[in-house]
Amino acid sequence: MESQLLSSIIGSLLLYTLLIISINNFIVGKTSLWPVGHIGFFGIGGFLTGVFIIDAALNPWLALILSLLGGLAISVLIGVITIRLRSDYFVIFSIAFCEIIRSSTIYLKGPAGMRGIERPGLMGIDLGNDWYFIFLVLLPVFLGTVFIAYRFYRTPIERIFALVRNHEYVARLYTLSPNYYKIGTFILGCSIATIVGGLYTLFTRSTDPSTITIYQSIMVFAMVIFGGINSIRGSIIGGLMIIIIPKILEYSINHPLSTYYTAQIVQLMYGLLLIVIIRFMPGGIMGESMRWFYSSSEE
Amino acid sequence: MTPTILELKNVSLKINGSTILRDISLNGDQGNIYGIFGSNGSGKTSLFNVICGLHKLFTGEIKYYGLLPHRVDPILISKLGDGIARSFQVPTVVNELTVLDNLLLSHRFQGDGFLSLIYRRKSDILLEQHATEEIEIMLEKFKLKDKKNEYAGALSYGERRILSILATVLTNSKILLLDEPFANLNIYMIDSFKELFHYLKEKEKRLIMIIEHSPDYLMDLSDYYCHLHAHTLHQYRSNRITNEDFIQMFKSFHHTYD
Repeated sequence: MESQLLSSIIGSLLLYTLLIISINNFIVGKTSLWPVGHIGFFGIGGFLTGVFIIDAALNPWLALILSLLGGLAISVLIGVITIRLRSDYFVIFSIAFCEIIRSSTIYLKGPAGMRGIERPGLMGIDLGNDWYFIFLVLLPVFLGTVFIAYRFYRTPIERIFALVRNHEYVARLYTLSPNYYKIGTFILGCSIATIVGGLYTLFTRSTDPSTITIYQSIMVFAMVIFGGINSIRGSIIGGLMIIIIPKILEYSINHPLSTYYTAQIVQLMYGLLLIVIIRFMPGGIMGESMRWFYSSSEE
Repeated sequence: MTPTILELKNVSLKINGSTILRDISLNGDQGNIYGIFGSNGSGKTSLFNVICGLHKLFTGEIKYYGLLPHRVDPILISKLGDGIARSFQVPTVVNELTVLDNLLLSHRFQGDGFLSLIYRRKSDILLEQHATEEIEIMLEKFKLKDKKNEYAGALSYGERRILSILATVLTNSKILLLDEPFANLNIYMIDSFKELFHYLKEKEKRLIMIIEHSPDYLMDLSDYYCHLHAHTLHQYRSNRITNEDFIQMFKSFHHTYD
């Protein structure tokens, strides 16, 4: 029982960290667009994987790939439409998108989602055990994504994004197309979120529309700001925060009433932490984007 | 006979019914420096914007390297021929990048796309190394070499201006449009820039257009004076006129204000 609890915590930690990386290191950090409803793509991945496995009785791996293609197609569509929007309009569009996805999943499969999704085998290994699934599937995906996110800093593409964020017209004069870079990284981020959604479905063996509410999305997004925009370590800290804090609170408060109020206490803690962080560390815990500012204010 | 690489024919620009540029024709020859003067609001910066494609709604035609772009688009225009680069009145450096990164931005590497995230070709890495060496030589000249790994946001306003002009030059475009490059710089830096522009003109045969308010800086530099007055352009060959002529010319244009 203890081991099962631990594996579920580790698994959701990896998946939520991936989701935060897909927002932080691929979209917010690069384009400074705020996809507040990004969890919609997580929902698409999870829902499509569930539908393909349960209704179409496809191989789970095939279902995962098909749902990735679905997410890719939708992100291309959304990216081309919204990438020219100014920041605040993009936020509103993103929230609306998340809400559309949540309502449609509820409309199609009911508020309880789907249950009884079987995990696939991998080259003869039964992935029914959580630990096998974590080490053979989640960890490689996690490391691969972190590697790609890390590669941004080692290639000219990172400084191109910095230019596009700050002076779009100058990027145009350098023959760099801002829309190409913005849409490209948006699609990358959305595809990763879609895969994460699919893996989450396989991991929990069910889909749940309550994980893709706008409240959840804002929570995940708050962790991006908390950890530090455009920082991989910041994303990992954000992932730890969103998974560990509720668990710690759940087990540390032993008052009989407290279990009832845990959710509220967690929200209280998050709000308090976010206020403290924004007041004292405006760039987030691992914020690097403000370093030039600190060095110039020393004069 | 130097080839004409920039050709403006009857270019006019109207914004909300008010005339910004009226019927401007100009031939830009390779290996020449054009000093563009004019009072505030006479349309000097707008002329640059029109040339590099930032203003789309103009009439007339502009040919770059003898080519007419099928669409007015800064990306398309800067890809024509040997390229076109422009600096702005305000520094356009990226504060959150280092000095070196800011200058590397103006170089275009083959593998700038998303595939470079997975694999970068050896040739691209070599290209970047060469560019870095070239940039270090340039930084040495402008006394910024010690600061090459500092954030551009930590530099002073003047240093950031130098940086953005250097970035324009380092694009290796044959047409350079510089908007007040000498403003806010000390006299030594101005001399260094004059030396650089002279080198670019003589050795690399570039076409340089410089907007400036004070003709003093450009007296010994420019081959042509272009005077924008009442939205129209008047062009003079500089070796034909003396200093006194120049002052007379300015006065004659500005007699309406006296």
